[in-house]
Amino acid sequence: MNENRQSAMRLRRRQLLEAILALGVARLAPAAPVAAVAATAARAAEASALNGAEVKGLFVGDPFAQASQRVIADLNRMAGGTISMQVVDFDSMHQKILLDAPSASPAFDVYSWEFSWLGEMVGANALRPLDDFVTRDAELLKIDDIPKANWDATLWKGKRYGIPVQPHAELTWWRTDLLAAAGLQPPKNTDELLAAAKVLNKPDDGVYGFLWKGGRGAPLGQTMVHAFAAFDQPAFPNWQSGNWMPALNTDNAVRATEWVKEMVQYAPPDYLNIAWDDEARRFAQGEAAMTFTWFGRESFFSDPTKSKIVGKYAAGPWPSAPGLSARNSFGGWVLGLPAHISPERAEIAWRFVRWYTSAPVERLLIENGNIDFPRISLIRDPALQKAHPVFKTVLELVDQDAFKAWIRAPVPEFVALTDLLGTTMQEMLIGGMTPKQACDKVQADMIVSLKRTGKLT
Amino acid sequence: MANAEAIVSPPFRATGSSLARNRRRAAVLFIAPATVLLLAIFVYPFGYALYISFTQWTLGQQSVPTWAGFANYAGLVGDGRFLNAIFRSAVFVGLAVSIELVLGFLLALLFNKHLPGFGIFRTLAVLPVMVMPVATGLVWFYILNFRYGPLNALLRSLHLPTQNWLPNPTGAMAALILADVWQWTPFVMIVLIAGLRSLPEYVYEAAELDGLRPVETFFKITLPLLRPVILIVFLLRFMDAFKLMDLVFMLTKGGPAGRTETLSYYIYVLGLQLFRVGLAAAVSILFLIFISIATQIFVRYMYREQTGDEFA
Repeated sequence: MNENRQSAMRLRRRQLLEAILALGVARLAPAAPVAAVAATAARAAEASALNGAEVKGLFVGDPFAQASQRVIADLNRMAGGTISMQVVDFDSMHQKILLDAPSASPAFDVYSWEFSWLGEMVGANALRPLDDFVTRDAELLKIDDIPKANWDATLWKGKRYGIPVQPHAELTWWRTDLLAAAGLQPPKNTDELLAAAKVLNKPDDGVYGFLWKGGRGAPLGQTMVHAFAAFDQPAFPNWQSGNWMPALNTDNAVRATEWVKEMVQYAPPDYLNIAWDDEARRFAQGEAAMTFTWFGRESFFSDPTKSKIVGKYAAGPWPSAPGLSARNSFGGWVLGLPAHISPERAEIAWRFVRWYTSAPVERLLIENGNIDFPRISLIRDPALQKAHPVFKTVLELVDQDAFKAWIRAPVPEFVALTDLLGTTMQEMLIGGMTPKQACDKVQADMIVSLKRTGKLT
Repeated sequence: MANAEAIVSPPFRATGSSLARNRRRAAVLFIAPATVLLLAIFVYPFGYALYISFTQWTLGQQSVPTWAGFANYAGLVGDGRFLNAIFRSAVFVGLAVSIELVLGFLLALLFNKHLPGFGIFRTLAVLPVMVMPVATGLVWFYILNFRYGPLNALLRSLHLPTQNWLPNPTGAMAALILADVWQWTPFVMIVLIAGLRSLPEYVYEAAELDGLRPVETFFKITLPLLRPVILIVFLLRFMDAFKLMDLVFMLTKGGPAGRTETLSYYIYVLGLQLFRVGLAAAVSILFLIFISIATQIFVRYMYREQTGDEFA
């Protein structure tokens, strides 16, 4: 007991010394990489998370994994073990979890999964509930520091399946210089967004009003889901009570679709081929006055080697239809454990997850290009806010409780829904059907799809 | 001779049955690896795909498949997307393969000439065949890019209106055909050049003596003699074009609005995006049956043609 206390005191003294040393280095050498400070702080936060062990992570190639790869040597040193990462693209991540998880001895200890996959992953028995660990280590986790919407989105039918590692907000971005030149204020609702897009659309100058993700399948599908939300229409209004009847041809859904059809008049002519990366790249090249994308793109827009709009953009919430309260979607990545992981591996994997999602490590990742909001303390941090003003916007939305999980409902049918929307709405956008006809078709097709999977009878 | 029999025959006769047994064993041993390999990579996967095509199985929602009988096949009858995929595949195959055959034939006739420099041209012309289809798709994706693509840049420099190729319902299919024709016409050309060079010289000498004009020689001699080669190259291109997936994936993702969603791409969406493996397997089995029947028809037609020629 005494030995333990002495050891704990030694550890605290060491942590204190390391923190003082870190601050001293920061004072004496302001130009030294801030990452070094964060690294020391992170090490001080939890000494030796891995304790010499190796953890095998299957991560998506998003900014958190890319930032980790940049500082992997630091991370290994801080964790006191070896972090073996296999980094794959979005679709492969989804496939690999579903193929690896059923195995009695999964090849990985930790998976990153997207918020909207939760229902599907739990249904496939791919993830281990983490309630025992979370209850045990609640204090170390500092749950109050995790934005509520993100934390709630890791819960499925009363069980917790992960810890958010890279949550991101979907935001509207605009060119401050172009809005100022046109004498416009940032758009606050869908009408203002449409009006601004019309004014700012100047194709002859190579600038379009609004850059849309209109690519077939998920890109356009997700755009439509957000448009529905702006008009107060959840795709599955009652999924939480087990009622899977979709609501894709209501008056609100049709209004949202008509609004999208009006908006695309001010999009680049090839918007039907635009997906996430292309959208960010083209906005960064100054091709549009406004766009709608996740705020992890901040690191891209603010990089002068990749962006022509540095210092000339700002972000705000996704506008709602006039009269409606703010509702913003969020997405991103959560760390979870395979369902069939052995108890010994589970303990190691959990210690890694707990450490890796802690504020000091997340700060290190933010400073290396992973712009996200895993911890309230980080988006509230004045130094980080100064480096990335978009943190203030996100903090305001967190304070308003504007992030809503229902926009991208974490149901197994979400992928099928976005695929259907992304196909049928293209037909509508190229003039093959009216918005009402498109909504009716999507509703009918979705019902057929749900009947096939037994969700509806 | 007798000595030889004396040396060879006694042991042969004495162990005739055991030798036959040994031969059978040896045969089994030699054939076994290939048989096992075939069973593992062809028979088992096919059998498994056939089985799951009769099940309802959505990965991520069901851990095990449930028996559904013919429900997947019956559901496809009224599935507009499946029928659309058949139609788009047929349009693509019809147009792409026809253009490749005509263009390939013309190029074969041209490059079959023994003219200086044509050897190098022939070699260069084959280069597209060696490029991976995925790379071909990526290259054409950038060539046809509305804003940055060199094709629109060329149109701009000629003061012509730029075109929005890929998101355009007609342009997207045309782009797929263009990329496929660019890649596979040289293959058709090479096979037909080989065919042209195998035609007997004496037939042409006889035609010349009979006073046939070049056009008559082409239609009455070259074309009929080359028919088996044309059929083979048509068959190869037909089967390959029907499997089109990589170009669609890289260029259009089946868009806009399903206008370029071929059967293979639809199977990919069903199986690897929506994880409806039972339904994807059913479409794959139908696809396989169709390709097998079409291939058999062509093969039998070719066989009849050839045997007819022999007896003629």
